[in-house]
Amino acid sequence: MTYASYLRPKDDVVLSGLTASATNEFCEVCLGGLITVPAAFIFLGGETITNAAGSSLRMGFLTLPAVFERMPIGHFFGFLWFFLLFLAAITSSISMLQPVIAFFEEGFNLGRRASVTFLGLISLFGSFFVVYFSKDLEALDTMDFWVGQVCIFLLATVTVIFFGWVLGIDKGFEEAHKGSRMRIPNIFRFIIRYVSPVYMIGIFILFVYMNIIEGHSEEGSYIYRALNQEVTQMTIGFIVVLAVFLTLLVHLAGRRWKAESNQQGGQS
Amino acid sequence: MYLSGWIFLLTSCLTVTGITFWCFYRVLTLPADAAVENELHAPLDIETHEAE
Repeated sequence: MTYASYLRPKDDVVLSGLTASATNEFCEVCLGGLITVPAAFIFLGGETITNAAGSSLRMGFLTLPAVFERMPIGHFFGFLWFFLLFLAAITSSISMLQPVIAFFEEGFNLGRRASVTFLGLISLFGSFFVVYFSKDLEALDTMDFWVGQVCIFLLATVTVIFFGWVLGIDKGFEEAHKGSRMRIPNIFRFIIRYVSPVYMIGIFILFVYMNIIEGHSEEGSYIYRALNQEVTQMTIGFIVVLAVFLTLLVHLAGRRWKAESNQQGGQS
Repeated sequence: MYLSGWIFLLTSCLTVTGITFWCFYRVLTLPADAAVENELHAPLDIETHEAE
């Protein structure tokens, strides 16, 4: 999304998007996965893989220190690996902030410095919240689960429904193919319109059933904690307040854009 | 490992590797004029309003 903010209407999004996602999958699945999973199996045993299932990050954090411990100059390579991971994380975080900065600039006609300052204050407030409630990583874990797993899934579902049904698959394909050097196979019209929404809504219903209906009384589950633990409730409250605030800003920016375009239409 | 595991592992890895290298091939063999025109940009060509 960050890099899409800077594309021109006729830039090739199909080939660029496929190349970026394929390269990402190649590094994660073919390189990262084939290194981490066998190493976890050899050094920590099959049980660790079962316990860490669903979290590749947790598996990496458990396995790689064990690998570094057994290799020559392991401390140095361990430092190097975690330092590079830190750099990757911090640069990704900065790039994730860019669409919001672009939104403040374009939606409210703010200068770049004002946009960065405004977003910096919001980020600082969220970071202090996580640091202040750092006991057992309760706030961080709650934010990671609800935003990094649940909301990102909902966002993907909304996006695919928007592309297939609201914008319309024909118009979506027409936009995607402007300036593109390869065609999206026609089977993806059917997949985007029917298969993806059904598949994602199906997973979401199962998630709700397993976590809310069946798992709400399990101590330690996210739903149990949301119902019973004060810090978790405050964290969810923080996420909701921020989401409402940003939705309000999107609404205001939309009204401003509409008024501006009406004004321009009236002048011409 | 079970035979089904090997099939799953090899299919997924070979598919992803194949698509990745096919994409690299397509991007690197773009005609020169396409690269110069609008399709490929060096970071410095992109207007980010950083200096404002």
